Amino acid sequence: MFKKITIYLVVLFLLLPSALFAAEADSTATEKKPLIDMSAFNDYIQGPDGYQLLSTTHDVLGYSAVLLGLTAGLFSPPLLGVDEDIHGLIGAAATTAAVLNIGVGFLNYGNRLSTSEGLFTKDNIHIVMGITGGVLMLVASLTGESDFHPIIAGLGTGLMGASIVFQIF
Amino acid sequence: MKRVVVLLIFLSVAFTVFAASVTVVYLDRSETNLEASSYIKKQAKSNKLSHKFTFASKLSALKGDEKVVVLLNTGRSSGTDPRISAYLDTVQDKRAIILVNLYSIGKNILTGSVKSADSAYGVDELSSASQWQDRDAAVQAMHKQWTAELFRLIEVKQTL
Repeated sequence: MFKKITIYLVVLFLLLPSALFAAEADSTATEKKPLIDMSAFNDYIQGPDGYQLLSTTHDVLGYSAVLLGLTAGLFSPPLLGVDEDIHGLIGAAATTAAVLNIGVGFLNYGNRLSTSEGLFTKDNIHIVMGITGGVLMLVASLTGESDFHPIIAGLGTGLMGASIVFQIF
Repeated sequence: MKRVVVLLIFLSVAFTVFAASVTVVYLDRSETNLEASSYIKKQAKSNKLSHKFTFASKLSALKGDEKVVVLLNTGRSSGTDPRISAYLDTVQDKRAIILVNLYSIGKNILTGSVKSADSAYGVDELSSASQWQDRDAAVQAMHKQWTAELFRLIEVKQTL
């Protein structure tokens, strides 16, 4: 069940940014009245208020992903003898936060991934580390039975944490 | 208890409705514009100012009856965005307008202001360096300085 939720989230966040930010680009299309008028929402989310909201959300999700990832690692059957389901639930929550965070980060800060000021800028490193960490957490969730699960999950959580620390300092 | 809650709701609504409105216009969805707009709002909140900030992403959104309009001139190392220059040339009554120049000049620190009488466009101008990545003490002080001046100008314009 946890795997399915994670997959749905990945699909949602691959589709959502393009749906939200493509509205302006599609100016050549003949004018059709949309079923649901999203223009007010788009204006809000693309404006400074939306930027601030997504910025705070990105922070909260990032910290949550790392804290939940660490908690899942601590509450694992081999370490503290905690029930497998509890470990799975916390792990899925960590992965969900990580995947949501990649989506929110892409929505708000996608334009910061740039080589115009060099390859190894603070933003580029943060983004690559964060995405790699999130993807590894996702892979760890999908390979729960594998022997590599703890290594991949630990690496993913570590990279996401390092990404946050790197951005702060 | 109920009365206190009702009073609090009433006061919140009253503050929201009667809070002095300030329109901030940004022309592009750039990092500078979004960070600066958010920063203005945050600073106003932390200074406990009652201004209600509304944001517009194009100059055509202005109706002309705004009490205070803040134009963000960004994406340049000097001068004024041609879209803003063209707009200011068409406006008759410029008393409500404050032009905020946020110049991309690397890691330099810059703050300055020009009174409307001395401005080429006849509007009050503020200038600062646009730095949103590194926020050391000098950069923080710079941002606090220009926003403090902005809030002072807003107060003045609201009494006009």
